[in-house]
Amino acid sequence: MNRVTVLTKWTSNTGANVADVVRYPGAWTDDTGQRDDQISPDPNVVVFYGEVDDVTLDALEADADVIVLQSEVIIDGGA
Amino acid sequence: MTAINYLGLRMLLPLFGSGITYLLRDEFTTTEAAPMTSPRTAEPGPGTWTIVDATNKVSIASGKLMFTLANTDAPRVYGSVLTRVTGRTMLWEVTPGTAPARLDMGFADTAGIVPNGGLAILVNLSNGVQVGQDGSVLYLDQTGTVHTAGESRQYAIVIRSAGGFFFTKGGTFTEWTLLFVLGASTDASLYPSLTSTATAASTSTFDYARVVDLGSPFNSDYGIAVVDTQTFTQALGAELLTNPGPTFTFTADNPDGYTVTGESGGIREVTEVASGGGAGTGSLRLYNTDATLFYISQGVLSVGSFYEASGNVSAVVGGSAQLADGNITSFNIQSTVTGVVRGIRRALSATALIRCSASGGDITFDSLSYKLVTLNSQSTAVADGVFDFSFTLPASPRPGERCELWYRANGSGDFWTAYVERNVGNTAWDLKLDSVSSGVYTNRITVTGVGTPIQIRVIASGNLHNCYTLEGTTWTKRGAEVNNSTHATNTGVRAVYSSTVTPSRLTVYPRTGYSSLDTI
Repeated sequence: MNRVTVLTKWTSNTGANVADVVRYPGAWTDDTGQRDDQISPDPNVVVFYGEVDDVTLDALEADADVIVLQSEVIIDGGA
Repeated sequence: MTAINYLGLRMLLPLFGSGITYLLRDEFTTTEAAPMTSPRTAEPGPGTWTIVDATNKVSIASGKLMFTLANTDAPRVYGSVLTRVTGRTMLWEVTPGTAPARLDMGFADTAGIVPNGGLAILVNLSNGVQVGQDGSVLYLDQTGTVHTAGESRQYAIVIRSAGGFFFTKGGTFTEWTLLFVLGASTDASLYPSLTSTATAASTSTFDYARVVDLGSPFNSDYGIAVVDTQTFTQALGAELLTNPGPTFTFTADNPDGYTVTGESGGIREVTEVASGGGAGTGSLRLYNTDATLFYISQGVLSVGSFYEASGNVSAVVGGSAQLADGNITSFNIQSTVTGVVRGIRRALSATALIRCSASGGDITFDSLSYKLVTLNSQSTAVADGVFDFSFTLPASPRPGERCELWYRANGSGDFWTAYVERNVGNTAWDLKLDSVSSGVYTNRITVTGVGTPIQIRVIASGNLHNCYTLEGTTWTKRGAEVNNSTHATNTGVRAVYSSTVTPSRLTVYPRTGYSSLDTI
């Protein structure tokens, strides 16, 4: 498993804001702390933290809509 | 009287009027070099300790029990056996050295073993505090739960009939704080125990260790809860759609009662077919070969109300079936497989909208349904708490089904919701955490494939949100900590779920307000 931090876009429509990257399997968490009332369509990007397997990491790195800012292997037994 | 004030009063009561009767009390007063005499008589008592110290590294100096360890040392100090009594509490204060591999402290189930086989708090300098139960441990992984070398903290474990409450004070926790609640371990025999291992030279110290029986509210399993609901009233209303099937009626190849929008012969169409999509009558086929919006609809919803939408899909040639409102965003229940698709969502428009996905969607419905949901009433809890919702998910789950724990709620449009949701392919449950403002859902955590949980827990404290799920007796942290100030002071809590979910208990324990532990 790998820890990743990615720059992704909100797929925002009236009624919902969902980060584009969560279509990939894994555990994804908003890393920005941006309040609901401060989410703006411009700039329409957000930083998400993820824990993903190797196959997904490769797919993320090949996806032009996702920028992998950082990744590292999770050592077994880590929190 | 508010719930918070009431709680504060209750938390001062456990020891008032009765004095304190210790079952074990050691302030480690008199200096004694290693190897210490075993059994040791506690000071001022009552109680005795057995000291297992093969390498002579346990001593008392400067009013503290000291574990002066080198690599491979693993001393164990444990008290006489105690019976399991709800409210029976062990408290201690510990300062880790620079390199303990793990301090493992609490109630062991067997004399002389590490206590995580019973109920324990474990301090690991690198990864933070763990709670342990019956040999299974969980990193809490919350801000403040890394206990650094040289930092003094107090811990307390309060026994429940099954499991226990885990508290701490010290470091970033400036008052006694409920860290976690466990509910499985039922060991009848409990041995107060202090143990450690080390990876290098390291001295950890204990200022005191005490065991006492606490009175109300600690002496019942849910006594400290400000909300504890086992009665749920959520209900479905009557069918809202005209001509919902099964056996749809058609006029000129369009279903009666529905408005058809975007139809174009041979490209986007609704047609009458047999169940399964073949030639015949009574079922409803939608297909869309391009990207243009195409749907059938009825104006039967009220903005802000909740509905359970469902449909029986008898054929999927391509794409997904979608049951939505007119916005097709947060209310958009999807399935890529045959069988029932079902979900409960909040309407942001008055239109019940049914469609297949664009650019290749080809779906046959045998029936459709939209029903108003009368929600459970909102309970007033606290903003900072341990929020628990336990339930039984359906044995045969269907895409779109949800089970939600609302907290920090103020009405049905502003809240946080942690929920499990069946995915569109009906292969797994996913865990999600959304903040919701004026009915707009913003997803903060998505974790795919979380098994079949029986309980969702959120621990919210200030701007911090941590999610966990329970399956069997195993707790798992889901996603990372969210730091977000949205609705930070709301105090409402509510359970919301698909009609196939069986709710069992909604409980909220305050995060703080346990100052009576200071009097022990």
